[in-house]
Amino acid sequence: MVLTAIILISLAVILGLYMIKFVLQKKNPPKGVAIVHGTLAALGILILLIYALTTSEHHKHWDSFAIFFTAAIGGIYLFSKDIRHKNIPVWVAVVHGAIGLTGLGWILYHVTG
Amino acid sequence: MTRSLWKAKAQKTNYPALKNNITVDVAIVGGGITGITSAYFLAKEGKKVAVLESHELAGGTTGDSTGNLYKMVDKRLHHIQSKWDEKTARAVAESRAAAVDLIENLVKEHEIKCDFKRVPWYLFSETNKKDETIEKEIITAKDYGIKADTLQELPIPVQVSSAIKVEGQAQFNPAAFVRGLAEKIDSENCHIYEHTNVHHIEKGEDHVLSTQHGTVTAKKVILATHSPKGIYPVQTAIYPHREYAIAAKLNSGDYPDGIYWDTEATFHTSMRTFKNHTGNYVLVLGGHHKVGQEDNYERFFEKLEQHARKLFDVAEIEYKWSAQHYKPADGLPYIGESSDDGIYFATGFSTDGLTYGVLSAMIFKDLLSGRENEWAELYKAKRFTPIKSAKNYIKENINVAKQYLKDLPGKAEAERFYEVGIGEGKVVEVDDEKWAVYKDETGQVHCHSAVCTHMDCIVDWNDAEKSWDCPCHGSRFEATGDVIEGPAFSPLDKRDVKSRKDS
Ligand SMILES: Cc1cc2nc3c(=O)[nH]c(=O)nc-3n(C[C@H](O)[C@H](O)[C@H](O)COP(=O)(O)OP(=O)(O)OC[C@H]3O[C@@H](n4cnc5c(N)ncnc54)[C@H](O)[C@@H]3O)c2cc1C
Repeated sequence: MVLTAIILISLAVILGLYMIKFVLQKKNPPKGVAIVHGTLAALGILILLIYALTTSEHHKHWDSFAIFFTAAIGGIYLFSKDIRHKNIPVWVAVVHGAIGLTGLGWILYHVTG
Repeated sequence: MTRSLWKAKAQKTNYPALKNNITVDVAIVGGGITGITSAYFLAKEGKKVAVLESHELAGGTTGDSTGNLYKMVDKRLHHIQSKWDEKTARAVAESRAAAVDLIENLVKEHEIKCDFKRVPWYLFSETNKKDETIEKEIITAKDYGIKADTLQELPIPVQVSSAIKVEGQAQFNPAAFVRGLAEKIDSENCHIYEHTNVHHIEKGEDHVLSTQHGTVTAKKVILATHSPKGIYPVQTAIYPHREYAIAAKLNSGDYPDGIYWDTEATFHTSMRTFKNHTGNYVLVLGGHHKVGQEDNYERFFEKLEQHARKLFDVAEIEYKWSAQHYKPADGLPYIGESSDDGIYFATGFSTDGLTYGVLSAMIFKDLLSGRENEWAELYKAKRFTPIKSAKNYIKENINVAKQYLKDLPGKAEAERFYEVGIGEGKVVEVDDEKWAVYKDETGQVHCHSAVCTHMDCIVDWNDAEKSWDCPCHGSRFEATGDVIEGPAFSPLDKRDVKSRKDS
C-alpha cells in the first residue's frame, strides 16, 4: 500500500516540477497537468490515510501523511487562485513544492531506512 | 454564413455607443429579451437605467431562438413534478403563463409589430417508444388545469404514434419584439447603448462597469447576458448546449400554425411556421450537443435539411443559424441576486428563456423596487439544491474536468501552421502552450492563445460558425479572438504569428 502511495506521489511530484517551471516563468501551467498532478497526489494521500487507519505496523506514516496533507492545502489554494486568474504568489508555489518534495524524501527515508 | 430569420426580418436599430462616464440606479448588461424587458419595467418604476449591449439589441440568443411562447417547459412539466413536487410544477406553469400573457399585453398596448399570435402547442411521438412520455404529459397537464387534447394526426405531414395539443400558446418574432419594446421604454429614465461591451466590473458599494469609451457607476447591476459574466458558482450548475435551426421556403404544401415538439430524444427536433407579408417559412430545429465538444459542426445543418426535405417539399433553405442555451442542474432557472451584493442575474433558461426572460424582468422589477415577488423564492439564484442537482452536477462537472485534460503537453490538433487549411482553425502547440490558429480566406494566419479567458479550458474550432468555442462553460470567441458570448469578459490573448511553426 505504502509503495503504491509512493509511486503515485512521485508521479505527482514529477508533474509538479514540470509546472513550477511555468510559474517561475510567470506563465499559466497547463490545466490538464494540474488536474492529473492533483488527482495523483490526492489518491496517494488517500491511500496513505487508509494505510495509517488499517495497518497493525508500528510506523503508520502519520508524519508523512501530515506533510503531504499540508502540501495538498497549498495545492488547492494555488489551483483555486490560478483558475480564477488571481496572481499566484510564486513563494507559495515554491513552498508547496518544497513541502511535497520533503514529504517524498521523508517517506522514502522511512521506508528504505 | 449563418443568419437568423428573426434578425433578418426585424427592424434595424441604431443606438449610440457609450462615450462618457455616467451614473445610474441600475446598469443592465445585455440587450436581449431579459435586459430590455427589465429596462422597460424599471424605467417605468422611475429608476434611472442604462442598457449596455456589446453588439445590437436582440443580437444574442433571443434573436437566434425559435420564438415560441408556452407555459410548458422544454424538459416537460412532469419532469419538474418528479424532481421537485406538484406545487413547484404548478408554480412554474402559472408563472410562465403570466409571462406569456404579459408579452401579449405589451404587444397590444404598444402595437409592437412582431407577428405575435396565439397558436396551439403539439407534442408528438413518431414511434410507440415515446408514447409513455406523452401519457405522462397528459396526466401532468390535467393536474394543472391545462386542457390537452389527444390526436391521431398532426396538421404537418408527420406520421405520429401519439400526439397531444394544447391550445392558447403563442409565437412571435423575438427580435422584432425586443427592438419594438426598446422603442417604447421611457427615454427620460433609460438610455440604451449598443456596440458597448462591458469588459470589467469593479465590484463595491457602487459597482463600476468599464467599457471601451466610458464607465457606468450603479448600485445595482443586472447581468442579462444569458450566462453571467465572470466567475460565479452558478456556472457549475448550468450546462451550455448548442442547437441548430433552418428556415425553409416550400414549393407546395401548407404552413399550418403551431409549435411542434418531437419527443424523439437523439436529435430532439422541433418545428414551427412563420408567415408574414415578407414570406412564409417552415422552421426545423434540433441537434443539440454540448458546446465545443463535437467535430464537424456543419453536419448538424445537413441533418436538419435532410429531415426538412423528408417531410416537406422544400424549395430553398433561406436561413440557417445556431444558438446556445444553458441547462440548469435542478431543472429550474436561476433568477435573482448573486453572491455579490447588488449584482443580479438570470440564467439556466434551457430553451424556454423567452418566457423565463420576461419572467425574470417581472421578478427584477419587484426585487429592485424593494417589493416581494411571489416567484422570487422559487427561482432564487442563490438556492442550494444538492439532492435535486446531484445527478447532473456530478456528471457535468466530471465532463468539465475531462475537458481540462485536453491541456496536456503534446496534445494538439496540428503540429505546424501549414496543416491548418484555408478558412479553418486548429489548436497547435507552440512553446509548451496551446495556440488557437485560424487561417482566413486570404491565407492570413490569426494566432491566439487557445486558453479560454474565463476559466482556462482549451477552446475548440466550430467550422459552422467560424468561432472558437469553450467546452467547459460555453464562452465563444470570434476567429479573430473577440468575445461573442458566454461568461468570458476578455478576448483570447493575441499571439505573434512569427514563429518557427510556420516552417
Ligand atoms: C436554438 C434555440 C431555440 C430557442 N427557442 C426558444 C423558444 O422558442 N422559446 C423560448 O422561450 N426560448 C427559446 N430559447 C431560449 C431563449 O432564446 C433564451 O433563453 C433567451 O433568448 C435568453 O435571453 P437573454 O436576454 O437572457 O439572453 P440573450 O438574448 O443572449 O442576450 C444577452 C445579451 O447580452 C449581450 N452581452 C453579453 N456580454 C456582454 C457584455 N460583456 N457587454 C455588453 N453586452 C453583453 C449579448 O450581446 C446579448 O445581446 C431558445 C434557445 C435556443 C438556443
